[in-house]
Amino acid sequence: MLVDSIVKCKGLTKRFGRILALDNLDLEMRGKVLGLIGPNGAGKTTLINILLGYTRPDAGEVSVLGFDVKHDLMEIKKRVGVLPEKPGFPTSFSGVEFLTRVARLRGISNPKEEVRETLAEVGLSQVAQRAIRTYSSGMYQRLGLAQALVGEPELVILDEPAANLDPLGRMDVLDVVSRFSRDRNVSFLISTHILYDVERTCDWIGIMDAGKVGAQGSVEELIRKYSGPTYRIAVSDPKTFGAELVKTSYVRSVEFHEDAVTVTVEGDVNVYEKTMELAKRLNVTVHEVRPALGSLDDVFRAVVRPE
Amino acid sequence: MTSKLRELISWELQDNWAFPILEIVIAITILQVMSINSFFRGLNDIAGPFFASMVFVIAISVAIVFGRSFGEGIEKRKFVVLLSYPVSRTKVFVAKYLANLLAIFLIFGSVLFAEGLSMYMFDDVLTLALWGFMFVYLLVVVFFASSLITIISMAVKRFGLSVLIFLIYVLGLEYWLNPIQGNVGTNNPLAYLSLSLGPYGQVDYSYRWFYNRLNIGWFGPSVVTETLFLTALCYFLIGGLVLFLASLFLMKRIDLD
Repeated sequence: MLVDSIVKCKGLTKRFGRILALDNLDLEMRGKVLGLIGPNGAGKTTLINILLGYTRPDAGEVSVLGFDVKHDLMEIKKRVGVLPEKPGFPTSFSGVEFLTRVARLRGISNPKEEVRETLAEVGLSQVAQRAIRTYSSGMYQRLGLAQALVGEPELVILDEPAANLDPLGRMDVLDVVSRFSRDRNVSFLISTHILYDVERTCDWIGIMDAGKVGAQGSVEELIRKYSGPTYRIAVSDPKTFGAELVKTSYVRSVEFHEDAVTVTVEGDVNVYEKTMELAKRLNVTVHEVRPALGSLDDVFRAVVRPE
Repeated sequence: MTSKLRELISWELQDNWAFPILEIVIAITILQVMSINSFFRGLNDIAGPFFASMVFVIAISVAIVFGRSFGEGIEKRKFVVLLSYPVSRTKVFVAKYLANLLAIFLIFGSVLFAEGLSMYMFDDVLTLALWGFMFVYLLVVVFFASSLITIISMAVKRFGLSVLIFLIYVLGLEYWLNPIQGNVGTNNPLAYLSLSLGPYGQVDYSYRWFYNRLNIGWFGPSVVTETLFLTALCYFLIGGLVLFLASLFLMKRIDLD
């Protein structure tokens, strides 16, 4: 289903005692795979809780897939799958039993085939008959992803989907997200701390801090807007060259690669001239200097901790 | 009953009564209640000892079962999972409450049934009306205790703390009322707030009233006055209903953060 915006918030405010979790938040999420990033306590989970009706906002309006959360919550739930943060699944159920019950609650009368397919998608077919209490934390998280995907929802909201997963497990989750979004037209909203995951998967990003959205847009837009001029410099000894670059005043960040360094600079600097000067001093050969795209790390730093 | 409510009830029974909860509840019920069973007792010794022995069983079982379902459900984010599916908060609450109440009453009712049957077989003093009233007031007292632990669990959102508060209240009340229990049947309505004396007083008043109305007459009037009967009935039935509705209201408003 194509909707104008997946999530829309206007003047959203939520307070927990003296803590202001969401501060008059205005936000419009558009895209297929949406990412919500921000430091701890930024308000990401509070926002997700409000989208799903777990928590009531103190003020403001919010809609999901065009439905008002206050009045049409059931319509939203029918269309949205959720992997909540630290979910409490019934540990005495087996994996297949649990998903079958979830499918029935989602109105699927004969869920056997769908449950089998979903378990295979997340790589849990082998342990489907085992009680959930015997699952490792990685399996538990995959089961969480599976229950969110049952019933082919239009939107899947994943709160910290990579929690407790090893690097391979994380990659598998991102693959499932990419596959479902590409092949089955499912939209995703992912809240995470891991910038790399967002950079790799999402086509829209919102960066939250202190209850507000500091920046939002596509990855490329944000990098162009917030990251300084970035260059890829291929040299004969990237380690020595990069270590010296860090000490200079005009360099904001340096990323090391096998045969090169990626440098983000500040201000109006002639990078080509400076590179040649430094290479000459260090007796290093420069193979190439070319403009490159910055990273989400730079954007995150610029938005969350602007100096 | 809608299919979703049925599914939620079945979910609750499988999750909340999983090993060893059912086994523990059955074990303490049998050990506590069946051990006091005397095959040779008079009519006046039936309801009193039964409800006195049930206080501990009701307090522990209801605290574990409802505390787990509601307190631990919120604490361990089981509610968050259930409410992410297309079911309303009211349905989740009603399914959990109903499933646990019926399961508990089924166990306690079976014990009462077995005890009554043994009395019929060995000592023909139990009348059907007395037995029936014992069932009714057992349900009322279980309903009250269930509603009480439910609202405490929903308010504190913790299993351990809710069980502690509930047990302090229920068992503390029994202990505090103990010195005035000697005044049963006189003018002490407070005694009938106890989970043992309350249902006993109601049973005693009800079955005597029932027989006297039918002019069988040989049971004589109850020592429990109408005021004391109404005190107990209002406390357990109307109190239970108010607590139940307050829990439902809380369920609809609670922040699951």
